[in-house]
Amino acid sequence: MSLSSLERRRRVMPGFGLSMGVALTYFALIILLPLVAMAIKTASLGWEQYWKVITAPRSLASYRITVTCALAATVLNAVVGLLFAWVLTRYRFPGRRLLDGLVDLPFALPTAVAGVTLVTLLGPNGWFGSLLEPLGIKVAYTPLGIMAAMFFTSIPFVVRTVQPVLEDVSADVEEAAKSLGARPWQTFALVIWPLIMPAFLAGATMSFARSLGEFGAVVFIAGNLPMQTEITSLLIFIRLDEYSYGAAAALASVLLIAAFLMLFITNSLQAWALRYARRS
Amino acid sequence: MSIVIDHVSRHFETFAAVNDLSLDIAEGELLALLGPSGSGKTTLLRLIAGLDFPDSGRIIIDGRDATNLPAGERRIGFVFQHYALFRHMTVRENVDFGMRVMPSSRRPSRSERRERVERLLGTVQLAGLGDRFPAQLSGGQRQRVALARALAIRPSVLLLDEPFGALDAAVRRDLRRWLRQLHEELAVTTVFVTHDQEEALEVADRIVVMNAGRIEQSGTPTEVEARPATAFMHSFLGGANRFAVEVHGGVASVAGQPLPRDAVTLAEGIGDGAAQGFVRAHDLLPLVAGTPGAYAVGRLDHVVAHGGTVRAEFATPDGRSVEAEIARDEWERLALTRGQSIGLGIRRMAVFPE
Amino acid sequence: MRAAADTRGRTALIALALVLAGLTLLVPLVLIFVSAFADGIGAYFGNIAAPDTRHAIFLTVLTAVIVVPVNMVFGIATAWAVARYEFTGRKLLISLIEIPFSVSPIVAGTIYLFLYGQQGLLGPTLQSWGVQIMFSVPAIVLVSLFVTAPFVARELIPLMQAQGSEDEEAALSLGASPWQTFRLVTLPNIRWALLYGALLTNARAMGEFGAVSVVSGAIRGQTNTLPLHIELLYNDFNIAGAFASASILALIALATLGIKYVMENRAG
Repeated sequence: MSLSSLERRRRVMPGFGLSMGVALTYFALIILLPLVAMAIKTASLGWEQYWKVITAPRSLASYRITVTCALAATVLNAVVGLLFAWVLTRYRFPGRRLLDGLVDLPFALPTAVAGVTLVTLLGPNGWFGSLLEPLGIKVAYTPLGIMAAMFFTSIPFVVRTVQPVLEDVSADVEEAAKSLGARPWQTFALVIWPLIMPAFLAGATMSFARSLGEFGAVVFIAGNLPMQTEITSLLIFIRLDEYSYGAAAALASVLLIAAFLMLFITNSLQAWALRYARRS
Repeated sequence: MSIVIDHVSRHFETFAAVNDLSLDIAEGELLALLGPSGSGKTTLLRLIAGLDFPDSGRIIIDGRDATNLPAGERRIGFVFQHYALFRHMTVRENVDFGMRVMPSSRRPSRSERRERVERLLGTVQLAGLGDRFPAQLSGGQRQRVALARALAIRPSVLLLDEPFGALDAAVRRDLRRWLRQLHEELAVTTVFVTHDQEEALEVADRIVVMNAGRIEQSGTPTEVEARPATAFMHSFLGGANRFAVEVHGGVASVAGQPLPRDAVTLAEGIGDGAAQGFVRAHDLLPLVAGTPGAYAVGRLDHVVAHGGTVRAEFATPDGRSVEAEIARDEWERLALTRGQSIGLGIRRMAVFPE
Repeated sequence: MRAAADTRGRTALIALALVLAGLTLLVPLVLIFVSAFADGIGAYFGNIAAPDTRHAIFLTVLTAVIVVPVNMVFGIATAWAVARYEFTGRKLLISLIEIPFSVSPIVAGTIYLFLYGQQGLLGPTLQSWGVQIMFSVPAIVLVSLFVTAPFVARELIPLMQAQGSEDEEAALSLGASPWQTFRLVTLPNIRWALLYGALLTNARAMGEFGAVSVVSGAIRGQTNTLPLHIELLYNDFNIAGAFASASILALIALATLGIKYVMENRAG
């Protein structure tokens, strides 16, 4: 009663009906409707068939490969991202602006372009591949290549989430720690790290989520051998190509559930990351 | 023009920002809505402006029921606390905005608009700054642009939300005086919101003090300053000492000593029992030893001389601190030094129920 | 002593960052253009002028031209609703809008297939009316709308929330109509964020690969966008041709970064 009267009370800002109407209609048609269509398709499989598809050995292998490579890429990205964010916010040096701009390249560059580029670079005859081959390291067409592609496409996440928080940690907080006798590593571990950690985790989670779903950059370099270098996204694509739509729907639902889970974790982490900001 | 606020309420979820409030504002009046933050004064101002709508009650502007009229049709000039200047427009474009958006039937001609803008810029002492952008102005200048912009639509009522809140002390003093003068020139009904009593006392013809969504007291600055009507008013206006009082048969006692009847104003309908008494600093008298009528003993803690008066803080035996304000020459006659104790007399006390 | 150690640590960190960035970001970028021009400038322009490539460029631009304005309207409407009003489900709407960002492009394509495909929810009905969406241009446009839906809204929402509604209230109290308020006050206040959101939408719409490859059918010279065309050429072992097409998309990416850089300096 009181709620409905609240919603019906007069609004000063005009355009509520129009903007809500446009937003919800579009949202329903473009985002919700296809998701519902897929849910119906998946449900039509029946539980037994569904379970059989998603636990088939080839499916399980694809999850294993996807998750392992995404984890490895995320760890690498966490370290490199933290380094980039730190260097960009704390130091002034020639090439800093170029570095700052270049960090976003993986977001701006289409994944297919990244894919052909990486496979050319890391292939046996590529600039890097030809150097690594004599050392016995094969990157292209191995899980290492999948990891490299996932790493490249998600470089910006950790940098771009940590950077603003690090910039907000004002110099006087650090100076205060220093004046109280903290050594540099103590200042970092006790003062800076607790402040940037939530943002860092949020960035790493986004990076992991992106890697789980990455397709374009990976297919070129993966080799795509079933059970060995076949990621889940590609397996869905293959099932679609074979017209086994039910299997594709089941596998897609697995990725979708994983994506929702990651979205939930990221949102929670971001709310947590903002808790200091909101208090002051 | 006159404004009548008739039993208006506005609730936010369960919180009553404005609670069954009625108020008449006369034509040409310069009225201050004074109160602590959260007292509902800004909400009331926004209700008058049409930037919010009441849950119940009516708002009548110039005899016309404006309760459901949108902001743009009330002919009200609103000056926002943070000015809300359009940052992508020059000062001139900002001032011109209200005329620019008028329907073409009512819109003044281009030359008249230009002329009015220039005249207003002169009025607010910003002639020559018309081509600047808001970001290139000082706080006081932005404030005056906001005022000129509100005046350009020839409003029947001018509403200002904490008009001096964001300015530093010196600029604030100048602008206060200037706002008074401007009001005298334009004679437009003006309501402004402030939490600063000095500001309200200095600028307004009439002060309405709000607390918890209701009117606590209303009157001329002198009335409000001289005769705070409630316990809240005493603590809000500040500089009052609070004493625990025992009332018995119409006589108030402090620390067991009855006070003379003519020194005490009892709140209406107050019964026997514990009560609270307020003594303003200038009604608390340090007494030369030997004079009768001391109701407490105070040890001198701290002294501040201010112009012709002295404010002295005393610590009482029950561990509290009280403040007395007396003329400087009288103070010098007492020749008190820090740590010395002295009797304290009460010239006038207002007593309210606990 | 400690100051000297500080400086050394500093220099080492900067050097490490620059080397890593060079290897992981700069070298791949250089490689695209070196490979595109591997057979000489003449061959490069020959590759770009090839009819299939020209058609892929046309289709890519066409997609962006439709997708960018539509998603700008959606983004503005959503941001306005979410940032200017309180309503039940507001927070839920903000997080649901992010769905297209979190799902794999392959999943994005798949869900559209199950909506408009032959065995999909609406596909058979539409087919009986003679409307073919899957494996044609409309499907490419639709999935591109899906994957880029959140870009404009997510740029505008935090900005409009931070700006508050005082400016709009000022305009309304001065007698401006809703449309005047929007055009004269809101739009100028959000123009840079709007432009940036549009830029990101454009970059993603032109570069989308996974989702488009599911729904396009990739008929050469009919439903091939540039990213799909790159794959096609690469699988045909036409490496220089693939990189010629890739270089166009890389240039657009660089332009996007450049404009972003200019706009950030403007805002700061």
